[in-house]
Amino acid sequence: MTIGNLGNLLMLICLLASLTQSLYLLPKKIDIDYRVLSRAPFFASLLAFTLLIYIFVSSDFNYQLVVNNSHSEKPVIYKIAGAWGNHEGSLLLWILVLTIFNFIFSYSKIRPVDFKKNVMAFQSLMIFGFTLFLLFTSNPFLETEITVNEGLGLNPVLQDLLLAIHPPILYVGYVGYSIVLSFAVGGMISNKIDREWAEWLHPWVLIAWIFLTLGIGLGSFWAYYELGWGGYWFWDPVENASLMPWLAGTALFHCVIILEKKNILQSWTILLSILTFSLSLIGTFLVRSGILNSVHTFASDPARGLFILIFLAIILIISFTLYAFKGPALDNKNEMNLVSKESAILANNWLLLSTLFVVFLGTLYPLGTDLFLQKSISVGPKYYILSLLPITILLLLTMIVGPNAKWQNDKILNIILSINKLFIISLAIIFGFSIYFAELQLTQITLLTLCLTLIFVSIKNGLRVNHGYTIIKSSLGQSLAHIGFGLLILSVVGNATFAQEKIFQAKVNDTLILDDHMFKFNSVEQTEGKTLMPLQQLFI
Amino acid sequence: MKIKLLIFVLTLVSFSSIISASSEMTSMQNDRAIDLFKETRCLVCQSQTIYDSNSELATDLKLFIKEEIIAGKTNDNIKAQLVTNYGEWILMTPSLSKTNYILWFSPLIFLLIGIIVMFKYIFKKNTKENYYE
Repeated sequence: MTIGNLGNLLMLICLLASLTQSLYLLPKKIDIDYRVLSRAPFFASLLAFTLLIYIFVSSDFNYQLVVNNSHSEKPVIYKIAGAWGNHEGSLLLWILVLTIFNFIFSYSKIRPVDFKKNVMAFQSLMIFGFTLFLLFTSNPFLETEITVNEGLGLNPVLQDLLLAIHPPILYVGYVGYSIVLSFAVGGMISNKIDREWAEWLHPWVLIAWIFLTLGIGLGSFWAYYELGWGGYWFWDPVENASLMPWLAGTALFHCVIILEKKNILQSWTILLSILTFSLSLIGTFLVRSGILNSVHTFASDPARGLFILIFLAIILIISFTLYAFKGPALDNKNEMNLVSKESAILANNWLLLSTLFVVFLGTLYPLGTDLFLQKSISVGPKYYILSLLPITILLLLTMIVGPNAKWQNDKILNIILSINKLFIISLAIIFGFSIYFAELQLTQITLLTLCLTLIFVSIKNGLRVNHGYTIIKSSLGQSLAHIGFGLLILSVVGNATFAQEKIFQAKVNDTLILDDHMFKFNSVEQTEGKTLMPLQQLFI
Repeated sequence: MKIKLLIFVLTLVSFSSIISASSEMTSMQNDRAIDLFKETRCLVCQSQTIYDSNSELATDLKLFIKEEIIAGKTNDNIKAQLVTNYGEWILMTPSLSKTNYILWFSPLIFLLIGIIVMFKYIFKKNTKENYYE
């Protein structure tokens, strides 16, 4: 038996086991041993993925995928990364991550068992769908019809260590939200959407969020040093595709906290769970169907796009049908007051969704005008910056206020008193900066002051001042994340305000002067790289 | 053969591709040129502006823009010229025209709807309580 056959057999096992497991969703319960069925797909796809890496590392050019994406003289690390640097391999990775989540979940102590089985059954349904997709449209173990001795190689821009680990990390984030959706569906079937449910869901949402954030960050960092002069975010459709589930996921995470504490907003949490994973799927569809014009699209194939769309439709139909029946009865009576932590979080939720709306519209609007008006337009960075500016200001405000408000009921005066000093300090710093260093405009002053206040307030909330400073563990994560967001906006605004660019034509030994900095164009050298021969321009 | 891939990666923007006109521009003209480069889509690339691209077309467009700036045309003139030649797709920012009203204004409407719904949710809790009891 060849490796390819073995790989196919393994994926077949994965397909059948997950199908059997998903039968639990049917109204007439068949009692099956979930332990075997939910774990077999994991081992099968893990082994299949290992085989795929093996044929890449051994440069087995009997396989079409290896021929198209690898080369016998590539360093081993890029041979390994080549396994997921393409549509088929990354889909197998996607399935592997789906099964990992199911595998880990099968060991959790969550009760009732019925709820647990429903969650796993729905997760298995998704595993089944994607395995079907893999086997019929994108088989990574396809053999070549003719004998090939050498592969075509991997795009040099992609031969980068960060980019090698970027997809797996991003996928754990993307796919992590699948288990969240399974929680929502399972919870609705078993009528178990309550505080306890939110408590169980909390770590899963957090893990997916951390990985997605890390994945986007890595991608952005790669763009910064590899793609262009200091560009870190291009509002490229594929970048947007990863940002959309991130925004929905961030809103979801906050919403889960309210549900955990106050036992309200059940149906809203369910909606966000459905939305987040749907956006992961839409992102996948956008990237893989080749429908959008982007630097990142790979493997454009309408058939694949269609499959993902059908899959998305099935997921949405199941979730929303369930929601239509169970949704209205889920909500507890609402006890929310206008001035409270939960209302600030809810406001923040909506601001995140508004950001999402802008990103979604900007990404898909050109597609719409193209289809319906036969008119092509481009939606570039300026649109996003202008539309997101007011939302960002409001977002910063709620992020400053929210963590300082009490649950249930608070007084506006108390909140103002707890932050006014830090706000005044921030304002003074920014004003001083504006006077002594560079004149700033009103929007810049507003944004920068709010960022600085947010950072100070978050630091304060993370520390308890007694004798010296102690870190408050419970709010450490929140503080760090909010400080990070403040720093992010601070740097974005700073970069937009103070970056200077000048275009020169230079020969070797020419000197360029920009403000106080002198650049000397020293030499052009051809370096002997292992796989590439980069032309380096050296500056002093 | 030791190295079969002979691919030259320009780790930095190719300086040779930038045409000599730049030396004649004042720093204000230079800033304008950069702004316009960032506003102009490179039509043969995937989602890149001519500022980020070193393709032949991008180089030609950069040269065109620079010449127009030196000739004293305003940014709007130059953009209009680009649109006549290549269509609206070439501009990175959609114009505020009828077809784009939805694009520009619906986010604001979306935001407002949410705020209204939220206020209703918070203030109508009494009636809701009755509904559930």
